[in-house]
Amino acid sequence: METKPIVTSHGNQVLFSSLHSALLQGLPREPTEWRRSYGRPPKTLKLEASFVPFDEDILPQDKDKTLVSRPYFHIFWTDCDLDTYKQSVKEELLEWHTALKNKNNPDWLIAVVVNDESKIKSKLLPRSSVIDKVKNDFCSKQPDRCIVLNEPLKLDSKSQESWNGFLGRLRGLMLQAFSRHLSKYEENMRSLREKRNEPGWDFVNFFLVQEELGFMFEMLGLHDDALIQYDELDALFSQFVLTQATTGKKAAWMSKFMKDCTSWAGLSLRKAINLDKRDKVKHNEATLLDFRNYLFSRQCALLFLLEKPWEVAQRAVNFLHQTIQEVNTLKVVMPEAALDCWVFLSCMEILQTCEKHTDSSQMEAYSLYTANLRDYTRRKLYSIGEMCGLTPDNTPSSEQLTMVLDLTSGMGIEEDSEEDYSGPNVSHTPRPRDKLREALSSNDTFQKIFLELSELTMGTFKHIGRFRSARLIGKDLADFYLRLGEAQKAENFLVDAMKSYQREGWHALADGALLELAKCQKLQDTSFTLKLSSLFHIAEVTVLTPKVIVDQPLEVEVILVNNTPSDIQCDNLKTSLKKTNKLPKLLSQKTAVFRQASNSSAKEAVPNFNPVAQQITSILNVQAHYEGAPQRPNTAGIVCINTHEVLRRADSSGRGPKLTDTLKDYDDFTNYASCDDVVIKPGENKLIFVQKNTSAGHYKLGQLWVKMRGMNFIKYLEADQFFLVHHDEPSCEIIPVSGDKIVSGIQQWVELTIDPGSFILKEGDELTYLTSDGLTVCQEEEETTLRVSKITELGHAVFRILLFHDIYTVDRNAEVRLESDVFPDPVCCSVMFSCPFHVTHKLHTASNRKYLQILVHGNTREDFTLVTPNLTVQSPDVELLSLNKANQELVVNGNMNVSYMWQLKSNTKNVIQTNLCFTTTFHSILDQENKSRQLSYECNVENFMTLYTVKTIVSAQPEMGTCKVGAKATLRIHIRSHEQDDEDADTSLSYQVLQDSSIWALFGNTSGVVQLCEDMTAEITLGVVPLVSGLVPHPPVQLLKNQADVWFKQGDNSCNSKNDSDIPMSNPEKNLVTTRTLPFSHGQVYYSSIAQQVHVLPDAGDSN
Amino acid sequence: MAVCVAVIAKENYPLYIKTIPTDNELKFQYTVHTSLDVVEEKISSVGKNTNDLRELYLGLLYPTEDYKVYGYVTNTKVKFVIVVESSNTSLRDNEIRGMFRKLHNGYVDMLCNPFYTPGENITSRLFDNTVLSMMQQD
Repeated sequence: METKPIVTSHGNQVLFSSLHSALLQGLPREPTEWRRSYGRPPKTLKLEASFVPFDEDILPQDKDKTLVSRPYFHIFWTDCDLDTYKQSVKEELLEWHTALKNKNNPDWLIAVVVNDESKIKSKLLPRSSVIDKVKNDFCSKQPDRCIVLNEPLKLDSKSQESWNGFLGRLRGLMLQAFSRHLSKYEENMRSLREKRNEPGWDFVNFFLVQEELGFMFEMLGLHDDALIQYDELDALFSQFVLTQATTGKKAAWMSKFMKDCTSWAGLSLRKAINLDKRDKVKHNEATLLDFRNYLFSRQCALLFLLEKPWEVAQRAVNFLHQTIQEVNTLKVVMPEAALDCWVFLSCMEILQTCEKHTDSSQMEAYSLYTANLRDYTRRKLYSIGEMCGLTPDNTPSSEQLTMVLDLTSGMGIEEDSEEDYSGPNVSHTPRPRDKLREALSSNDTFQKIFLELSELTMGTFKHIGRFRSARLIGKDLADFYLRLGEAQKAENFLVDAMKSYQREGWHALADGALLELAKCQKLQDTSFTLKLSSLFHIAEVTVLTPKVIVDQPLEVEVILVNNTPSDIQCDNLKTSLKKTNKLPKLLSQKTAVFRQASNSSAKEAVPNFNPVAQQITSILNVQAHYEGAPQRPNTAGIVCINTHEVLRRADSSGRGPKLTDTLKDYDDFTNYASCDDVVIKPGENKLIFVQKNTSAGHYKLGQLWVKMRGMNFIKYLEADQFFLVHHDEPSCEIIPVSGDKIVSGIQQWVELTIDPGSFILKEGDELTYLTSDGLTVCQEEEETTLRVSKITELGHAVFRILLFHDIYTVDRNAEVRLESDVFPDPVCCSVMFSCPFHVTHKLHTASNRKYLQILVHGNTREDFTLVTPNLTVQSPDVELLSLNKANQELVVNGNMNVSYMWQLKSNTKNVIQTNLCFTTTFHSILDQENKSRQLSYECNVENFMTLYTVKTIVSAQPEMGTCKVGAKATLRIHIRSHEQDDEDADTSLSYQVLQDSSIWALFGNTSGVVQLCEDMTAEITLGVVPLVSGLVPHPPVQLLKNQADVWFKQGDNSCNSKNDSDIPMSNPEKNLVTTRTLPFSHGQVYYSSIAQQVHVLPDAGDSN
Repeated sequence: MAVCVAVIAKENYPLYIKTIPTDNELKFQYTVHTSLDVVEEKISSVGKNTNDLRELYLGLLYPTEDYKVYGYVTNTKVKFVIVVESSNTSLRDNEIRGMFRKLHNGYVDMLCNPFYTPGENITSRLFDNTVLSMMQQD
């Protein structure tokens, strides 16, 4: 409020206006303490004033009740000298003084301004200055009513001091004036209040009187005192309503507020004081809502001035509730939903205004109250929407549309007049009225705004840690979404709500949420999962087949008790089988079962939230426990299944045990035993669950899953029932009866052992066999089946069969496949046969003669006897001369080889290549038939005729006689061709002395080309020095043939070709001829000195 | 008089809830449950200076348009919540305090029964009668 206490000035106006601004600034500079009557605490305030010229007419009468507009204080200004004073000023003063006195106004001050200090000083006589005169004339009894202001326009300290004195005096006197007026006013007011129960008393009058006091305090900057005035009025009004409600006594004035309410414009907090509203109240035109709106807006304005915006939010809820209460009590007639509109609009206004006034530091305190306010807003919006047919599954009827129109008009009456006040600085947030209009305009916008508001409210609640409230809103939202048909969204909220209710142990609420959830899931048409216990319970679970083989059916017997009175058709029942590494041990059970389901729902850190610790139950839940087959159990006993509850530490266990969540997670149902299409009759039902196709391992029963159309029930089978599913593939093994190997080429007794693995072979079962190529099973008649005649203790079947593997089969790995009805797949058995012999050949040369050696290496421990060796040759030019004893029986085995030798004689030299075939008959004791069998071996020889003989001679220097270490000797290499008369024989050869530097040091050409002479011989001489003494082998010499390669230079024929006879050598310019040396094939060169040695004497002088 | 009286365990699960009329019990349960937010808030804000003798009566927890919810916490953190109708103007703070005192006495009497295990739901007929006496209109 911009009003200030009014102070009049009189006297020298020119003087005053020169001092005016200094006065305005100086007055509030220092705070003054204001001691007040009735023991009220002193207040410190900064005084301000607005100065008006004095006019006798504005002086209030003594009876006047105004406070704010009253001129409180009167100042007379003069700076005259004594003469002027005497002439005119005194007169003026007197007039002024008398006027004041007539109005019985003691609040005045005469200010004498002295501009010329020297003047005062020069006056030696007292009582001769103006000030003395004034004091004498007017202030003889009250000397403080006259004050001197020394040279106020100067800036020195003296003048400052004089100012301070003046202002201090002025403040004090003004406060005195206030006190006097206020005490008088308050007394009046009190007496007026005392009369409140008298007939004819009007609340509005009293309201205006007390409000005036409030204005006064506000003017003085005492906002809290001002607020008290309004609070008192508020309380007084409430009290009247209450009294009327309880006693039924109705004050006459009350009927003004019981008028029908045609406008439900919300609270407006845009202006500190809404004068329109005030006038309405003043003129008794205000409805209850108007009055309340005005009163609360004043309270809010003061609270904002006190910088307590959160208190606005705090009071708001109460204000709204109380007003509604009063509307009801006073039976104020309002259209349906209008009050809700008013609440909504007011809430929004408060929220918006609070937000503007709140900074982040107050957010916490503020949110605490706004959350409730928002929630209230939200509810109201919903109920308006409900009435106007805007909620999701409704469409507004024509009546409802009319209602919307009525409501809209009712809240918008003052729109325009209000807009005028709102300057350009008004925020862009839509006015609550606009928001409500928007919300009411269509179902969609209503939904949007409602959801927006709900989310915001929920967020605020969460922010201040009121999670239960947030949950409730979540549940509301779920209802809303459900009506919208968005069951998916609803479900999340419901699940959250249900879980938290469950966790806190509010079962009725959790069940309520559960019902909603059921509705929601019904809507979604998806399957959903519930706890089984309400419908069925499980009496007994027995594993009928604790140990099964893979692919054998696994059976669980469950006795299910139907608690309902009717048959229930179940589509499918399943029990999950969980693979477990844990072996079924009785002692480890209790942990194994109950850990798994433990607090899997991670606890949110929720403030003020302790999950319920359940009481320790005093009931022991026991159940029968078997291990092993039910007919023949290994152990039997009873097991307490709730040991974890009973044996729990009673205190300090903190969070306590989990409360089983209603919504359980599915187990892994990849492995399950099931039984389909069952009708569960009331009472006990024995169900057998069957499972096939389980892989090997240990299994534990997990959950029971009952499926009835869209519904799924889950129940943990809290029993420790284990399955062992094992699986061993059948296998087959073949071992020889005698000997260590299975040998090809002979008939051999072997033992075929079949380990049926997880399957069971019975006597009389038939096995069909199938052998790979080259392998035959020797059986009488052409049968391919084996009949099991005997089963060993281990369950194996053993057969003794004769096997024959063709010796000439390349693949030594043979396979037997056994098929049977018992086994799902054929059983394969691979047999590794080893050949009894290994045959090699070797060609030997002695000058021109050639020999062939056939070596038979044995491969077995057992003896094989070879007879009648025979070698045949393909080429007619080669003749074979056996060097073996006739009719000799030779024995071969792993440790003993046999050699045969033939001499090859050739008629011509031109035998390039020939095949040789070696055959022999053999028999063995291993062979079951013991008949002679044929072994044949083929080989071929090529280029085996001797072409050259190389002879080496190492001779010492003639003077030495014998070779000595370190002494030079001569190596002569003599080459002779056997084809002396052959013209086309090669005469150009290469030689190479293979050097072994540790034995011989060589000089001269260790390799090179040599030309045969006429007589088809050649000789090469090299210098050699033996390096070691003793019998030293000759340096080895190798003879090589030369071959010329012709490289064609033609670009288009870039490839090289061998030097054939066709290719002309006559064109050397064109072709490049290079010579290669190639080794002779084995036997073509006979090195006659290859094993010769020379005696080397040690060198006497050589220390080495 | 009161329309709903609830006794809530230290761990915030309900030990006893009585509402009149009974047909809208769930609504009151929601109200009571939500009020625990405020109860916890008030307890934790006071609980810091431990030696202070705490005022058991928590006052108005939160008002709704139709109801007023009052709270009370015993020294063992058992909570009492009373819901009254807002329109019932005869019930002032003092009356509510009186009701809580009565309720507390009734609870203590019930607790003295050696057959009652603290933390179990309250089924005592005597306690029931005490509560009913506070709820019946007189």
